[in-house]
Amino acid sequence: MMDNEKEVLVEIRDLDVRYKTRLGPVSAVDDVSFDIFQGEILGLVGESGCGKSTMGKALMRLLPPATDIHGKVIFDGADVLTFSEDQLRDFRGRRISMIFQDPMTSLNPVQRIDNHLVETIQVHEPDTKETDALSRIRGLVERLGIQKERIEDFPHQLSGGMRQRVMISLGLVLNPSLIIADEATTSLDVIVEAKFLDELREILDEFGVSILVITHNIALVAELADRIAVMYAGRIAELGSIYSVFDNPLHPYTKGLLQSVPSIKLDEREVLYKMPGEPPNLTHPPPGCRFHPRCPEVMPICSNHTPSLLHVTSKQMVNCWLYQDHPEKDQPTIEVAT
Amino acid sequence: MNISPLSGICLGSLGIALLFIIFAFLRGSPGLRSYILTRVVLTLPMVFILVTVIFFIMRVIPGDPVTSQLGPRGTEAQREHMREQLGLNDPIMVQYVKYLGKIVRLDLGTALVLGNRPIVDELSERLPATIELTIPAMVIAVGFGVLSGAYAAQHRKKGVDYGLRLFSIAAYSIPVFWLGLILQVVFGIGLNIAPIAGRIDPVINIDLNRMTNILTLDALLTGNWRALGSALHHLFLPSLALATVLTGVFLRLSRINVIESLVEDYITAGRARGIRERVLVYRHALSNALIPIVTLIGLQFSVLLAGAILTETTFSWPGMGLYLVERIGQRDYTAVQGVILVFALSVAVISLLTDIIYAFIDPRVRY
Amino acid sequence: MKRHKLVLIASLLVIAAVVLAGCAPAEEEVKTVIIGVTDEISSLDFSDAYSTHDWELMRNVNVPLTDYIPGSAEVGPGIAESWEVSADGMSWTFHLSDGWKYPDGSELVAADVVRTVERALALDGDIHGVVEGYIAGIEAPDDRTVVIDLVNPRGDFPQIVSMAFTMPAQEGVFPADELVFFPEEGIVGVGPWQMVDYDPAEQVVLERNPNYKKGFGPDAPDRVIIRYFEDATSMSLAVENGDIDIAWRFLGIPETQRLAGIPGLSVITTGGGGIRYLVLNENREPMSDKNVRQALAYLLDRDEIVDRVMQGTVDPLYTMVPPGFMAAGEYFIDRYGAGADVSSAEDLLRASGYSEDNPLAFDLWYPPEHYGTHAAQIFQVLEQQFEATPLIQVNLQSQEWGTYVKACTADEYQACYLGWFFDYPDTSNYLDVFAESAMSDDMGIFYASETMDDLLHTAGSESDPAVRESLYTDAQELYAEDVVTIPMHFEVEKVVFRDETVSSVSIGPALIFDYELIVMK
Ligand SMILES: Nc1ncnc2c1ncn2[C@@H]1O[C@H](COP(=O)(O)OP(=O)(O)O)[C@@H](O)[C@H]1O
Ligand SMILES: [Mg+2]
Repeated sequence: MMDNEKEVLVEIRDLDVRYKTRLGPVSAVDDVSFDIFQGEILGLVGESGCGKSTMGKALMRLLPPATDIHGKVIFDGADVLTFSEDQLRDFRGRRISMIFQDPMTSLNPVQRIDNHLVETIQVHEPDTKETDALSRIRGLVERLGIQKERIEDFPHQLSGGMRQRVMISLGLVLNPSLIIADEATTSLDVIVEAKFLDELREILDEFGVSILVITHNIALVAELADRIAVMYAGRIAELGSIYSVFDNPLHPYTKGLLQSVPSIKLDEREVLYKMPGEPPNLTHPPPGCRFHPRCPEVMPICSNHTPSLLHVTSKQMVNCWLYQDHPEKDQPTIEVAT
Repeated sequence: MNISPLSGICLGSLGIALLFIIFAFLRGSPGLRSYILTRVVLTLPMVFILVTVIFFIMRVIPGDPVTSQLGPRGTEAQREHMREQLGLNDPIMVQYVKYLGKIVRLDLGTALVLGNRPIVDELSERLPATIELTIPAMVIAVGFGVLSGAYAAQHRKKGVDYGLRLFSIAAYSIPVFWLGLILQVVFGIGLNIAPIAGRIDPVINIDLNRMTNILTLDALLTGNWRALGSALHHLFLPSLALATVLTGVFLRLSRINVIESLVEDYITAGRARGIRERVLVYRHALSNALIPIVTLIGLQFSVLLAGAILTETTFSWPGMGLYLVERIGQRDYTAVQGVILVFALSVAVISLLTDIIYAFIDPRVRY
Repeated sequence: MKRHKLVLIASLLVIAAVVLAGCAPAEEEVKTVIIGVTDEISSLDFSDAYSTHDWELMRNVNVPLTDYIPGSAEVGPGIAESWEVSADGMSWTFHLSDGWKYPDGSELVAADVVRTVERALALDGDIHGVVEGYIAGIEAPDDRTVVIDLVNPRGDFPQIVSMAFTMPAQEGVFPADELVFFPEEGIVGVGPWQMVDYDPAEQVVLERNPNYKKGFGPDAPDRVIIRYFEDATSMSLAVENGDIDIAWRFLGIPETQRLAGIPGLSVITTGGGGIRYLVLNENREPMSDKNVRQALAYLLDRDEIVDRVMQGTVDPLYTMVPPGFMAAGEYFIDRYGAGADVSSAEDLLRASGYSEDNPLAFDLWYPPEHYGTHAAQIFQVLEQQFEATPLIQVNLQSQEWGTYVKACTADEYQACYLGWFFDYPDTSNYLDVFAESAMSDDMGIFYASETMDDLLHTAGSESDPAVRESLYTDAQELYAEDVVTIPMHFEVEKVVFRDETVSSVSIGPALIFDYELIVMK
């Protein structure tokens, strides 16, 4: 199997995240299991509010202290969820880093750019002298296309694209194994975004790091990622290689998502599919499959029993009763040809 | 020109202020430069207006310096003589112009009581005492207030947070003379570890060679460690009292600003880079929170002076505040006018400085 | 972590060092006594000073021609050992005694006295008016003799020259043509102390004059420091805590009562020259009517005020001259009885046409704080006492001190309340100011009586004590009869000292505090 050719970097098993709010617990991630491979780009897509960011933060344990987290996040053999504060600090930034959505607000406004970088190095390597740290970042910064003179600037003096490069350099400066890019390009304009994506891919190849690209923009994943995970209401609906999922989407939600992406061919002017309904309120998620109230292919069983994320081919997993057997099910289970 | 100690101190501190302004001007961006320039230029009419307002207020308030000094026993001739001496017989505009001329020459007139010494001389004895009291008080208030505010923010909604918030409200609302009295009774009488009043032990004072009249500074300069100890020891209660009253405001402002900063994205981003929580709170969040606090320092400066008046009275601390109280009691109009002038000018200069510091430390300020 | 601990330990050490430095008893063989006061220095020029505290400092540094006999209000030899008056009473000759030396070792000469007095006469200092009123000229025929010519004969002249303007000053200390309120080097004289350091806002340091003629007792202090406090509260806390050894004027009633209950502190009552009286403005209705004034004198019950309001901290006063001075007595008791006599008062009021329907109504003024916070209570009691008869309607008014004191002495009020403290210790200083027709106007009383003026003038110029005494007795009888003012009470002063360091202090009835008579442990 192709999957087995790659080494697993992160194993996520039975992950549950429940925010505590005054209105009751919010089940933002529910029973999620998947792997992230070394050197791959995994795209995590879904409508906003479906738990993608929570998922990303859970990997770094950046959630509010009161949040309930269960399950396992095995990174290089160790379970992140059992780390002590000190282990966590060491882990964050050095093994795994995150590029945030808004480069405007994700840099300390009163800290110079070089200081951000030097501080990040010194946090993890306290013995590094400032001059050494500075010389270390020089190459990286140049590689990312940030002019040398600009690194003594304050964040507000840089353009949005430049700031996002700074964010990437901050993510890369310690050579982590995984970078989580949460809506990292959402705030950029289209041209900058395209350029940025090209560079991002090049860099990743150079550095050999894995990336979890979190986005609501499925087109971006198509362009960038090796694999895609489609998330709906706290669960993974479908997971597989870009080619298999885009060629043959199995989950009704994935199908809907793909249909609602506009095609580039202007002359066709097709009427875009619009998925009915809204994502559920996660304080009170629907029973059974969380997608069933919106599902065009809904079956009686869907509202009573929860399906699991199972392989249907070696490259594709889906979380839907259409492809799974159950004693209470009337319709035949669909077999997918490999 | 004969430079009195007061003019020395005034010129000295103005010099330091000026140096800072020049420094900021040279280091700053063109935007900052034009901002500094406008701000300095705007200060001049402000000072002029202050000086003018003080002059006219002193003449409008009821009471007459001649009667208050001569008393009812003064003969008409004596009154006339005194009015002539004080220049009160001139038309008001002539008096005003003369007054402006004198101020430019740092001449604040002579006291109407107690030996009729030049006000400038009297103030130059008193101003250092006030500086010695207020600067440590401000430093303690800002230092403690800001740090404990950040601490409260870090431990938000826990016991310490509630405790500190309660303290800040209490500290803010306690009258300083009452707090001073409590401190005197507790530390001076109960524990008997601090002196009640005065600036230095009277016996040690004899051997202290006074140069600046800022006693800790004099003791340091002359290497008189005993005097330094005694001066600090005497400074303990008054600066604590004054600082406590100011602390509350800084604590609250710092807490709320740090709390606001802590939910900013750059804090989460820093956390994701493995930066320690403590560093995030006390360096990143606090350095952003400090910006509004600098402005507050400027605003609180007048509160500090008002507090100093009461603190000095409570602790028999012979500074400007005590002087003002004494001279109000003795209806020494020139002295009162002199003190108010010095207070008003220092508030003007401090607010100029804080505005420039604010613009200087906050890279985002748009001028 | 380690670094933080180090910082913590270091800062604790600094704090400890500071506390210790402050607490550690200074290794001093110099016996130092620290006296706290809430007074302040107004002037240190002998030819200018006219205030109690300035005089106290001067009396400890220098000696006038005549001086108080320690422990009494009587005047005896000062630097002059004897004196005589010319037959016409217009010229006094003072003979200086030998052995008076300044701290630098130089001898006192008569010209030193002439210098100060001439400056007081020539320069426009606070004492100028007083000196000018008595002295026409002064000269020193030789080093041991001073001759003073008077404006008018004064029998109390030896008392008058106990004031500071007769203290000697060495040549070159004070300029002849200018007053110097705060001499650069402090003041020097032939008294027991020399001023080695002073700062008017903080402290005065006195050390022994090694050449002091009378020498020092075995337990006298070597050094005296006067410390200035802003208020009685902090001064009382300072004596309690040991910052100062002696708390002197003005402690105030509540603080004295509090300190009296604290072990280790001694509270001593000293003499008092301060009197309080009611001004009845005779220039205005209704006080111009003698019947009215007498009626008020009948109605006043001083004991009630002393006991109920002042809780015995002051003594009732029945003439303007406090006990201890020549011819002092209880003239108001003799004339109006000790307690309230309502019926006599009513008779007088009816005789002046007042009735229940047409009562005597007047404004009675007092200052709310200057004389202590109990002033308001005194006046409530006073109002009740006066209104014991329906023929009187009192309207209490109060006014802040600055305005009050001017109005009270400038013919603006009908009746008000003031205090007086003597300038020089003689009966004349308690009567002339109020009853002599010219001076009376300045005090806002406006009393004028030829008989009274005669009595006072004759007594003033008389030098035979027996004759003076009888003249002043007559004057005070007339004073009571005419109710020039109503004497109310006189104040004693309190001094508090720490038993740990001080054994005793000696403060005479004239409130003269001789620091060299302090006995230290
Ligand atoms: N700190 C939080 N406290 C409570 N609820 C939260 C918190 N953060 C996110 N949520 C909720 O969790 C759900 C998932 O949010 P999020 O992970 O941000 O989704 P996405 O990134 O896919 O837009 C949403 O319903 C959101 O309201
Ligand atoms: Mg998100």
